[in-house]
Amino acid sequence: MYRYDDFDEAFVRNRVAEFRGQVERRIDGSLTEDEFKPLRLMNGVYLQLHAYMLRVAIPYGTLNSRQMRQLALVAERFDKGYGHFTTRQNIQFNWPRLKDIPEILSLLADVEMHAIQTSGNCIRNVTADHFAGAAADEIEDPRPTAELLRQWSTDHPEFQFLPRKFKIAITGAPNDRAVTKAHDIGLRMVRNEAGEPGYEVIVGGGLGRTPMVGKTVRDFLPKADLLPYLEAILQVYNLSGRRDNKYKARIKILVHETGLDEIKARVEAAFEEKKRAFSGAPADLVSAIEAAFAPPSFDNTRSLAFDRAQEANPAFRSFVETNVAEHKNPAYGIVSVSLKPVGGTPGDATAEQMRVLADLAEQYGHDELRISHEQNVILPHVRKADIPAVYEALREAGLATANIGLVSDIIACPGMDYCALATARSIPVAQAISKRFDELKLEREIGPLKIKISGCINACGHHHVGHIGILGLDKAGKENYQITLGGDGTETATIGERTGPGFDADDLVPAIEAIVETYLNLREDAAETFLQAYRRLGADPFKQAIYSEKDEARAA
Amino acid sequence: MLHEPILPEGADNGMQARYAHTRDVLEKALVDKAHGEIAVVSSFGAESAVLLQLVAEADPATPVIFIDTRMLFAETLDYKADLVRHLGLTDVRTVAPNGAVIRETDPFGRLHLTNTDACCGFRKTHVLRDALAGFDGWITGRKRFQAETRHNVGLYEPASDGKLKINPLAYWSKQDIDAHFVAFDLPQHPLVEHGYPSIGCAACTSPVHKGEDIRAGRWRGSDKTECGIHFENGKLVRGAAAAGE
Repeated sequence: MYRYDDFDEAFVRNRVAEFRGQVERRIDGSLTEDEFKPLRLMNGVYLQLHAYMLRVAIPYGTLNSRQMRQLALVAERFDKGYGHFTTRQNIQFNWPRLKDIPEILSLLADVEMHAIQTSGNCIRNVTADHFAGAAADEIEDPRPTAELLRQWSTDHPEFQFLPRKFKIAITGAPNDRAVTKAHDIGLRMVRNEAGEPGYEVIVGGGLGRTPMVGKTVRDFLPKADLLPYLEAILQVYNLSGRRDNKYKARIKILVHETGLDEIKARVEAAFEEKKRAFSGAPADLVSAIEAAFAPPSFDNTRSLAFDRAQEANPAFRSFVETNVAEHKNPAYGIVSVSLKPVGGTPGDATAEQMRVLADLAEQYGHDELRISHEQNVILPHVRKADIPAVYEALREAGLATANIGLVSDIIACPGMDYCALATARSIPVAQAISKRFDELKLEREIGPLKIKISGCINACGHHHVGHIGILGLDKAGKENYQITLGGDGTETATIGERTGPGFDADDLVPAIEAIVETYLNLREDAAETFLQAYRRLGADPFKQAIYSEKDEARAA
Repeated sequence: MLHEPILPEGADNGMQARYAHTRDVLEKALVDKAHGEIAVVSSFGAESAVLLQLVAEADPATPVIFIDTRMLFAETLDYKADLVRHLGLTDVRTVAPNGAVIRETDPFGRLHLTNTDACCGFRKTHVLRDALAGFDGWITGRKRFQAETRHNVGLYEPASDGKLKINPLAYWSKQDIDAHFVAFDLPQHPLVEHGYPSIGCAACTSPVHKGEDIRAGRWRGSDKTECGIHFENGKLVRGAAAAGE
């Protein structure tokens, strides 16, 4: 894992000291809220519905047990005993007092963490495949690139006042688990004909009120050209992106309005220019970062216990089926820990649970943890021989929910329970859906199905790329939920199609149930997933199911 | 000091003789030091308890070398701990490939999928070569009955590296082995009851079906039959009889 050098350490400490002074001046009144706002946003502090919220970056979703324990400490000492993992590999503390935030940042600095650039119109936390360094299908670990981008983008003087926020995601595998096509820049590691690793560069993806699937601006970018090339994209965006309208300021609008060919030409021209002055990251820096992400020393000892526990315990077998993914090392598995218990708040973890996860990482997982954009926690390197023991420990902590990728593994934004922008609640909707499908006992029969819920058109819950997406709106003072179908956030990214008029909160769960029933009735066989069936059948049978005559009145 | 062995009822004279002879071989090697400094090499596998029991009887302080390839069954590691305690062996040396070498040669534990010989080479053969430096010879548990490729194993095999290889159980039969387990109430390797009569690295060991050679589960699906620690210059050493065949 990457360790801060002296420069990183001093930089983060100085930032904490600076912000401590700013908070003092806000509290004694010498700064107004308007003056304070841009300062706090630079340090990840938002003002929510009920309280300040602190958003802490978990760069490329990777953390060790010491960092996880520190998050637990912060949750316990300065919040209500829990934290909320977000869809961009951050953790949010929802209830800190402003006066405590400098102290929290100082505790985080102790474990090489920070909240810098988790807000504001700058380059945000660079996210990566949560299976990075472990996935069997990986070309190369994307995290050294993500760390390089973190160092390059932190306080980059040219890109502190972009037209709007800017999000970069990177995947090292052909199966895209980082939603790269819904980011301002998506990087996919690929190999050219000579077998050299490089990047496919995707630009202009995004969700929000104008969802767009990113477009490939360069099929193959040599690794060494990455930084000058990204600077070229950002320069084009910085100069040409719209600043007249906040809602049209993201790069996706620039790409859409300008056209891909013209953008490509401008980026390539800027790149030629940049390259003359900036040859990219120095090779010794790159190799030092790569060395920091060398794989752990695996111990490939196996045991019949793994297979025998599956034979003996159907609950464990289910857990392995859904929550254990194939590792590069055949003696290992990738264990996903679901933060979506039936009826729970997606993405919330208590301090106690964080400590259990830290302990398990330390004892069985080469001291590594990951946070996924799907709001789950991953133990990326667990010996199969140890998975039965890990499962037992998770079960005792209430963390053994075997639902990864299934209908109750729902992404939901904080919604109106927390967020000042929300127009409807999303957490209670997620809870109601997971409870209903738990009652029906159909979850495993249904198979892979991603439901994603956003409480406003900003789409933090990624509803556009949910197989079933739910968007909560305010309709004349009443919560109303629109449904989209067929969305996909992977390498075959697709924006979901709206079914039609929305549903009241009470009618939403029956409508979701009707959609799923329609799928079960019409699928060719159990192997055909919801998304495959939807692509074959189109929207009509699903629309019929939810807008049948009987329902027409309430679906107005 | 050796005591009179207790043999199971019905043990034939042939077995008595083989047993007495084995004890003599071990006493000569381990107590009289007739061949210099000798170590025992054991996998703590399915049949290893027999040789180890006889060694413990001769001298429990005999150096026993165990190669942890980092690819073994956890059950083998547990069994090793049990057996060492049970037999009172006092000088069991676990040797393993160097971590830096593993990281360089096989960082993701996948080498066995493409090149088993290279995997055995760095995880086992080289490790054993280093561990045997300073010894004049070593004792193995190889038996003729175990596999076609072991039909010519001799009691004493001088090797080109100058080290004497001693195979005190060369002439033992499967029945002899089973009887010895019963007679001395030796603990079984936990995988035996799951169909593993020969146990090596987990990735390259599978259960054996009825009627198969007991080493049939090793490197199943490939021509490979031996890991390489019993090779010389990359080749399996065969006795004179084999050469004349």
